[in-house]
Amino acid sequence: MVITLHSIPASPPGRCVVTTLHVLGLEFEEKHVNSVAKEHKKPAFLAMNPRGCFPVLTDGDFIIAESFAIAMYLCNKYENGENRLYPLEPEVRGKVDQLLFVGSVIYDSLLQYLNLLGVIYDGGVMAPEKLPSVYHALGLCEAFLQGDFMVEDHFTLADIFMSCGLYLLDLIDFNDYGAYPKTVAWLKRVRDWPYFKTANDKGMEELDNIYRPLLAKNTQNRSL
Amino acid sequence: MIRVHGNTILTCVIFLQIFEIHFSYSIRKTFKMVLKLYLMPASPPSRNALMVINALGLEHEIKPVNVAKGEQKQPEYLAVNPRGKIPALQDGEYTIAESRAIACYLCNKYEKNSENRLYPTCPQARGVVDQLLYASENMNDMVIGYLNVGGVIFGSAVVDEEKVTELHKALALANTYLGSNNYVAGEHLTIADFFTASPFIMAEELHDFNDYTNYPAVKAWINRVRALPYFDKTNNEGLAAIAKMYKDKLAANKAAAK
Repeated sequence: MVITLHSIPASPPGRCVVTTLHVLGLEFEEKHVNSVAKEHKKPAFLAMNPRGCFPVLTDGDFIIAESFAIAMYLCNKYENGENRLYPLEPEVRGKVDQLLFVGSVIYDSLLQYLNLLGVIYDGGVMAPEKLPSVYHALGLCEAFLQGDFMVEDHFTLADIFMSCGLYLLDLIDFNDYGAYPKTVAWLKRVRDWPYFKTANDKGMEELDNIYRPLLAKNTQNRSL
Repeated sequence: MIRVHGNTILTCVIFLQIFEIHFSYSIRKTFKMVLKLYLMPASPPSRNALMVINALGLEHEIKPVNVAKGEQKQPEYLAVNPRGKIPALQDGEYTIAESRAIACYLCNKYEKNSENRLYPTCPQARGVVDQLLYASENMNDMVIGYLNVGGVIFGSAVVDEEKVTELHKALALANTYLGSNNYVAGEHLTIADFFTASPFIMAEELHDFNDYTNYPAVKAWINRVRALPYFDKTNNEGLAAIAKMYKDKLAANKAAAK
């Protein structure tokens, strides 16, 4: 039964799934989606995910989309032992679930502020009017962090997915973290986690190499 | 060798299960561990969380949040949900927010073992539901974007009928997810149905949407959800309230725009 991940290395949600796969020690194949050629909007891909987005994961005959749902599925199916990424006790799992949905909101805010897809595919520029939502996201992290991790005293899916959007701030060298000391420490803790580094460093570099020059070019074009 | 008759074992097991259920019920009543749902009846996420409580037949207390007075931004509420959004659930000392997370928690904690669980436990079946819980947020945005609920009720917006294409995109997605099944995650009702059907029911009530010509299966499925025995008591009052707010304001905004 082969696990195949359809994604691109630069995709933040895709990398959240890769981190999960690494922690669970699962072997998998990566199939790169030709996003420039809009492969994900074509019939073969839509047959896997009607929403036409990646990542999508296949596990034998089973197909599943939505990065959060993929990570939850992998844990439900393959995770064992203690200090789980996706704990079993309803109360603890509930906290993780809550933060996965909050993480989804945070990711969307960052995506909109950076206009990630617009810059990369449509000659767009950033959306400065969305900056308040970035501070709101940082404030949420600060409020939810009770200890070193988002839930319990070890890494869970909540840490993986809540941090995902905030890393995108590196693309613009954002530096205004003064009011969020717990968040800064936590982001560093997640970033230094070996599973996270292996899954993300290269992809993040790739995204940086795509986004930064395009943002500069598009911004310059707008001011001409 | 001790022989115990099969029926005796069965009787003991049933007795112990009944005892355990009654015992935990008594404990909950004794220590007043009642489920408290903080909600805004007009709001779909609040009603979707309540659907799950009613579907599971759970005793609960409703705690309406006065949004007009900004109650959701007060320290007491932020202690329950730091995001300051509604709904939120309190179960004894435990608090949880985000309507879908609340739905999953309630099922994980209280749903009895059966063949047709609202939140299946088998990883694949659960995966299908989880995928829909996330995808339905996107579909909800499409429909609510077309209706422009916030813009109409709190602002001077009217409906841009060109955007009905967004509603149709959401319908097409629902149609694909349904396939040839009676429910959106398969052959039986799950929590995914509550969250996926919700935006279409909003479109029907707020904007009298009824054009299911190309999507008869979706219409039949929505009616199936509406026909659930607890649907009316969960939704009617809140839906009627938001529909009236929306329609009255839309008319006023249109008149002002002339």
